[in-house]
Amino acid sequence: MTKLLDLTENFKISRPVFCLQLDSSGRNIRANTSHPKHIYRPKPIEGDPLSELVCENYREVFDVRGGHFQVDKGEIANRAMQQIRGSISNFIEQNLEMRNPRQSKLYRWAYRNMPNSSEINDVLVMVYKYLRSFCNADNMRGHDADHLKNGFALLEAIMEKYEQ
Amino acid sequence: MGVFEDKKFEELDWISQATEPIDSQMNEVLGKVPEIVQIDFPTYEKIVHEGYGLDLSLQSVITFAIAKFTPGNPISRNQMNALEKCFVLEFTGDEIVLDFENKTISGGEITLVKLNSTMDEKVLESMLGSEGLDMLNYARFSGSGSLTRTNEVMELLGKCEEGLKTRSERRKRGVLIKRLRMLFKNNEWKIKDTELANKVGVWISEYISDGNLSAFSNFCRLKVMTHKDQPIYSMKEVE
Repeated sequence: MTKLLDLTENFKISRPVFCLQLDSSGRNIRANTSHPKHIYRPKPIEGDPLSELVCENYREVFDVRGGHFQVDKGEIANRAMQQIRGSISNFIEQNLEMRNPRQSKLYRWAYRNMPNSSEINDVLVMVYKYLRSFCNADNMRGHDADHLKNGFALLEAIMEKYEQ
Repeated sequence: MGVFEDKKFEELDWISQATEPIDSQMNEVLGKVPEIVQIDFPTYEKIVHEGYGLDLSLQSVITFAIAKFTPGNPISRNQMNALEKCFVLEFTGDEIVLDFENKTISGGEITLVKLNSTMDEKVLESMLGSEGLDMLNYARFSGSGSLTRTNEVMELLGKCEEGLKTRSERRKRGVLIKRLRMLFKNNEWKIKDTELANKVGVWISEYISDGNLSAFSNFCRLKVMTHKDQPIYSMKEVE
């Protein structure tokens, strides 16, 4: 989590300038707050899956009373963390060589019983980074048998440690 | 005859007395709002602060304009629906930009344009008594003596035989509302003032639910005034 929070540190916000649009009936003026005139979207560090993930979860909200955009960096890191946890279950489902991987002890632990403490989250962030080095980003399908073996060994070790 | 005087009617000029236009507070409100109201940045900001988002609706701009030019005139939902047809929002310029950094609106102007200076007579006619009927819809009919009081009102209104026969509170209310709706639709009592027409339902509901005698007295006075078969614009009310 700390790593994810660090990546949000330099996030900026869009300028609060909007193009107004009047609908054809002359009854509503729309200021599309999700598309300001000078939009800011963070650029991920090339080849860094964590940076990609955090940037993907970037969301700014316009504060009407304050007249400016604001970002909740903790919320962005949380959303990225949830995505990591989901990706780990997905990795097991996609790569475990069983008829029904969802029946495995590892999957059930990852899906239902994985604890949610800052310590394990930090571990999971590093594991995710490793898994992404040999997995497809969309479905977490791995290509390298040795890495897959390592990945499962790591997850099993984590499960054993945090199950106790 | 002082009690049954219609001062407003007597003060009307002869043309108005002959044409019998419907009088409404909404015409007064409409008259006070300028033909064009410019929406500059502070105005835009002020209006959106009352709501939730950054979009601006015609209703919110009209509410702002009415509060600014005719303060102390609360507008009901029905009235707002009617007023909406008298205004339109207009843009001049190709690209209007709302800038919260410099607190400006640039690239053109946003204006609220008034389309009519008076409300359409047919619209006002359709609004006669509607707010009073809304109140009657939510009035409490179950207090002690309220059924007897409902019968008294129905006898005064006439054409409520069905309601007089039943003991069901719900059906009595239904008949009463239906009768009043018909009365206003055909304007049987020739009431020519929307505010006065709205009071009819209010008086009836106050009398039925709480036994408010001054409300009943006002209702009876109005009923007596209808016997002259003249348009009614105002009446002397009991406080």
